[in-house]
Amino acid sequence: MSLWEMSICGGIFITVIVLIRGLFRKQFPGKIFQILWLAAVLRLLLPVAVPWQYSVYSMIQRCMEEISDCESSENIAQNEMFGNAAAETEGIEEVSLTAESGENNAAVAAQNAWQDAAVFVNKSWQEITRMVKEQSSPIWVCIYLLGAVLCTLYYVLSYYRWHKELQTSLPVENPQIQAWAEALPLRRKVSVRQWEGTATPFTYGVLRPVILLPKSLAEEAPRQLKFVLAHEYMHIRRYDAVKKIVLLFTCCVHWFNPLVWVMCILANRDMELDCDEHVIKYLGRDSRADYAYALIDLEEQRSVFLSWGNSFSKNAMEERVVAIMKGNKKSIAVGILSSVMTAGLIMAFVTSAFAMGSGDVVEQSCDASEGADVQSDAIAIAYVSEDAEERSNDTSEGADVQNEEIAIACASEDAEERSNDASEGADVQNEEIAIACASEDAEEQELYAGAKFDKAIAYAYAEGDASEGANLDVGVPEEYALLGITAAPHKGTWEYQGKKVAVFYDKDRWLLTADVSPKDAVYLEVCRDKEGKIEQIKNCSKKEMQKILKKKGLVY
Amino acid sequence: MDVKLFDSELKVMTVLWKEGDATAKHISDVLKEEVGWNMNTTYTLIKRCMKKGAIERSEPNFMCHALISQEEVQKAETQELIDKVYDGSADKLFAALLGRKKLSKQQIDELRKIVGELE
Repeated sequence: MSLWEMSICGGIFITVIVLIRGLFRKQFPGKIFQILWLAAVLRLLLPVAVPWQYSVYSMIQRCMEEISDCESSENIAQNEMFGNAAAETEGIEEVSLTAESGENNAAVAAQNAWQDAAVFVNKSWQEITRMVKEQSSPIWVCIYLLGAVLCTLYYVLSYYRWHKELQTSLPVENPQIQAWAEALPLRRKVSVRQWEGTATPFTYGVLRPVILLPKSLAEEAPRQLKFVLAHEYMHIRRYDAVKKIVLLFTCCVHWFNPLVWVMCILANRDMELDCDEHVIKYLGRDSRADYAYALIDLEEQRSVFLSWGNSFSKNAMEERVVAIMKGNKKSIAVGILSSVMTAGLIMAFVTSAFAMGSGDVVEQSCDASEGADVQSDAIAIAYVSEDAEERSNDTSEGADVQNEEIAIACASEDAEERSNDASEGADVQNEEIAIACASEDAEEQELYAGAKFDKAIAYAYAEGDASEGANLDVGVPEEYALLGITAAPHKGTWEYQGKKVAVFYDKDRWLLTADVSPKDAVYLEVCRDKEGKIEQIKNCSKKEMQKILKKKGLVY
Repeated sequence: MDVKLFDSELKVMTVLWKEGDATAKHISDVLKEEVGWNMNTTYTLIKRCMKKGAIERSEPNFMCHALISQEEVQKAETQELIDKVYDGSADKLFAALLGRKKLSKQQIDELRKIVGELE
């Protein structure tokens, strides 16, 4: 998974959590949101995801496929090659045309409108993934890195600066406070110090946590002190400092994603709310009002310097106060319900699409289904150009789905990967066919020659582009040479009666396809008798060839 | 002479007032024992006191000498600390690091009312 995909998927998950938070903040225990935010952070930071059949992304993908199916069945005639961009746009036009003609019939119109919308969603998804792919160009990478570094630097420097300043704090002299700190049931040693630079008590440090009290609190030790210390103790006990650091780190990594910043703010608020919940549990429910008043008093102390307030902070504070006062005991039913919901959400959103790890593969499967009217026999085409692992994964995954699939691995640049693909694709089951499309490197050809497994057939798909295929030389097996087929010198194609061979098909033995202009191309099928002897070579039309190949479950 | 010092700076001065002239090293040792500061922290504070004209330093051994007496010194107000030492950016930074901002008097009163109603 690329960073962009992680960011998009994470953003979707954050949106869902924000919705849930809006609906159930008051009903659900604070712990639930801590877990959900943690899951969101994991989704954003871990580059791997477990594929799962019921992942939201699998569902999206399935929808896409259905949409593409509809589309392709409508304009199969137009789609000659693997659904190329032009054909896609035609598809849209066609859909909108049908939408117009069906105006009389409201139901049809509605259906078409729905389809239109679905196609639009499909397109935007493809658009996003395409954009994302383009964004890996160096300039975008540079901009990204610059932002991430600046962001990190900002936080690291401010932390450094503050840490240096916080060092000048003085120990609290009140013996009661010291005794309290020493009696804490924690393995880490907590120190309580006072610092006149702050009007709000707070805690810093993970391994050696320090509670910093404003001077007034430490020296006068008013009634609020008990609550303040309980609150800070809960923060320490729950490792909230670590959570904050992780959240800020996530923000630095995904600085370009506003949803991640939203998460950071809301997760911080939820941390406070969860902390309050535990303080109430710790001090007893009777102290709720006193605790709430103590919080407000502290807010007041720090507000002396500004005459204007910040409504955002006020909302957060109000949320806290109300939560403290209203926070009734959560029933077991709510506990179970919220846990189940959380588990479901995490499984649905943190996992990735089944058999397809990334968005571009979704696109590919769309292509596949567009190019041919795919029905029961799934054809997964992994058309990947640069990334080795992805390709082999896709191939094997694509080939896992059913008995009769065909995994086509189109490789373009890298030699090793291609041979992997070919062998992997061919290993999977009895009758799969692995088509390895080679384009540039002459050496590969030998691999394909040797890639004939017992039942599996490896096809060499040579790209006919003259400049690209200059190094290619697909040798003609002897029995075909006898039929009058020759290899076009250094073009990577075959010739027959002076014409270029676009498709050469010999059932279960050989398939060669070349990208040549249809004008002077021939489509050849080898007919054999029962003993396997060649009877004749049939020169078919393009349509006939398409039909033949489609019947065999092949795509061209 | 009008020198305003913060608590932490006063702590450094106290050592000088109590023990007379001392090396920076010695001050650091005393304060490490007393308030748990590391050497860098003490040196930073000595430098700040020098800048304010409260301490004079001479070679060798960074010998420190108090330029003002305990009676002459004034307590700095906390707000000044925020403004001067941290360029007034304290709140900004805290808001960024801790995600909090201040509230107005009116908002505080509203919050109190809410608690009163829910009680």
